[in-house]
Amino acid sequence: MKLHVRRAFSGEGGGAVRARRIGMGHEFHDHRPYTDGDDFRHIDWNLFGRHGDLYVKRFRQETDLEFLAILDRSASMSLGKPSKDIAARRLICALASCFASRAQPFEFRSAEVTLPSLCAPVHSDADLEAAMDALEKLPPAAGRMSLNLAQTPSNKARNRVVLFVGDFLDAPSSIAQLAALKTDHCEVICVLICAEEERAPRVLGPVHLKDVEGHSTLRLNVDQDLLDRYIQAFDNHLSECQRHAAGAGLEIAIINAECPLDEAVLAVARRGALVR
Amino acid sequence: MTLFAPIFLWLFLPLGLLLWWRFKRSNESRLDVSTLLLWRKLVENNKSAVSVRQPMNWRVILEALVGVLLIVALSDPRFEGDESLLVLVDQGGSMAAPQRRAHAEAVAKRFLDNRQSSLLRRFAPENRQTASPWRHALADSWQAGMRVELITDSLSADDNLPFAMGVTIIEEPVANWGIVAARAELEDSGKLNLFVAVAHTQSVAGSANRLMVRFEGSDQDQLIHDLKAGSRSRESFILPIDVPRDVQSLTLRLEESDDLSFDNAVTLWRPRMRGRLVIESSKKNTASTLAAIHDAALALRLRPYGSEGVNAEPQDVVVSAGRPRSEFSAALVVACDLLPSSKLREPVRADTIEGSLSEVPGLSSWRFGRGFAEPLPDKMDVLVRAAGMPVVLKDNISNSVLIADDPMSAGWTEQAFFPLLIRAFLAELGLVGIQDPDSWLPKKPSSVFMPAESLALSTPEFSRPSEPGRRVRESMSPWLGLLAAILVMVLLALDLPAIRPVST
Repeated sequence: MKLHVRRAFSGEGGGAVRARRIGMGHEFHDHRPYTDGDDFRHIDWNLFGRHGDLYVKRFRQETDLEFLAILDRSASMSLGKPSKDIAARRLICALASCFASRAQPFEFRSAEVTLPSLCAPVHSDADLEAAMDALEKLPPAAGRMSLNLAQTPSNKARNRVVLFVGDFLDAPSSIAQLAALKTDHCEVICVLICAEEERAPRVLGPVHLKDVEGHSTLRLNVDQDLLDRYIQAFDNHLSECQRHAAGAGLEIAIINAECPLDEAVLAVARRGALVR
Repeated sequence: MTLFAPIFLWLFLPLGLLLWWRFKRSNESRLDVSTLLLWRKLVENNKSAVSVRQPMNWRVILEALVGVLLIVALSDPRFEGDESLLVLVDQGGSMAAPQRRAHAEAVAKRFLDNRQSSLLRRFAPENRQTASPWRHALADSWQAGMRVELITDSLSADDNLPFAMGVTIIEEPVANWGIVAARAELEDSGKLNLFVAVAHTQSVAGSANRLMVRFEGSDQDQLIHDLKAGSRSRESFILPIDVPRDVQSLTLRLEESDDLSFDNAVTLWRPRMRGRLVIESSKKNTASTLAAIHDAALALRLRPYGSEGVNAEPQDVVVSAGRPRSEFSAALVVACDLLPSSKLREPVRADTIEGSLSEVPGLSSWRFGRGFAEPLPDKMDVLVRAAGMPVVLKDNISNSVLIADDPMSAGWTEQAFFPLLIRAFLAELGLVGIQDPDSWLPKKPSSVFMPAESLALSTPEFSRPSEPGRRVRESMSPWLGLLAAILVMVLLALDLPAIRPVST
């Protein structure tokens, strides 16, 4: 996979990833007619010799990328088989494995106010194994998500490719906060993970529903009709998330927790236009 | 209503746990959800779904009903009637001992005092000219489901009395007589004076109490003297008798009043056996005669029982020494008059006579533990007994089993319990033979009887009268089983869901 980003980031590493922008770089992109003020060094003299017209070469800009994976660690992520939490951890590990090999720093943080780090950042393949170990040993997801990027220290999420992985139960709030990151020169990619058992629960008859985050309960008699309407409502919820994200200019990938890892990685990378 | 196998009621315990788990599982599902928002939205549009009314779970109820029916059916319930009790009192010669008769009457009276309606029937085992009425009475009453109280002495108590029968054993020693010496003097008048010396021993149980004479050329015995059990161990007397002129010799012998003569017994041996036993019983007392039969049987390696089954023709040692087999075919009774010899009395009294053995034709049925049969001893279970096959007793105290071809003819050998059980199961499946006990059971011909100490049982438990006899009707188990089967079919036909959804 060739790594791409839409946005050009200003980094100190001299650039390792092609940006879509045209600028200073080493990789030839195309020609354009010479105009006054163009640097003579970019004139394609071979072309001038053959055709007698002056053209200058254009190059792709190269940029540094810093990835920041923000993981929703709320109790709702513990649902599913495998749980959404485990699927999310596997996914960000896989993405880190892809990008760390290109010497892109990769950080893992929890979706809380202070964005606490989940493990040491990955700078190379050597760091990856320790990061995977640390992620594997994380306790199960619990509590409620308290993401508040407005209060987050600005240096933690700026000039990054931000990868937010969660179940977006409060989609409007989360998406609005993530959209605000774009003004901080971030490329934001959202990954919504859902579980099959919450999309289409196998339950009929009297059922005692318990909200794993709020601990509130609801007793219902579920018949097939009610179940069908719930499934429809859940699908609508996913569509709403996509609509909100699109309205905020964010890309969102919806991944099933039971989805094979390679497919999930590819879907996220494609959705975020990280590969071409 | 009486439960004839109440041990199965213990099954209610696991059934209760199973149903509790089943009901708990099917009653209400618990579901953790990431958010209740979606459900609440749906509920707002559909108020009826909020109802938590529990739907009737017919499947679990029917399953519970099937379980209960099966357990009750296994417990063998029977209704009782008013007409109830048949008390049989042994009037045989062996009961002639004064203490026994008095004791029997006392027991019967005490027994009847506590009953409302009873039928007292006296029986005499020596009445065997026709079909033995008392045994047929037992058989009839057993088949009718009546509980029968039998009061007898150990000589007549059979080892396979019907389950519903309680046996009260009168334990009083009786003298056994033997002829020590005899001499005949013919008078000029034609009278023959017989000088006879007899002796008896208190240590031998038996009822030989009639001195019989048979003249040459005659086929009938004549009673010439009736011996009474007394305190004296020896007795002599002169008996003047009339003798026909042409008689050259006579035979004296003691006869038991309630058993076949030994001459007859000898003829009961099957011709296919390798020897013909001729027991001059008149020369010996009962116990030694019977012991001789035993020894001969063991020496010839005769099987005490035939392989044809319980209802076979007369052919076994027990029958040949005591009573014709035909008497027992109806009631599945085996007599045990062989047992009361001096060697056998104590151990056999506890373990064989009083109903601890069960005769099972061809390993076709099994009995484990108590509960099936009340007369079973408390500490010993009869596992297997096939006609002509080894008897297997499990001693619950030492957790071992005791095996013998027959308690009266073969040695008892301790065997490990579980291998034997496996062997018996294999035999049941037909994978190993059961017809040849020699192949898998060690024989100890020299030790004839089981060691008493290893089978020491609590005699009070035996002699305790059984529950009050009641006339009981047919078992309801088949009907209950049928009802359970119908319910199962209903369950299958309706295919009821484990949780019935309520329409909203």
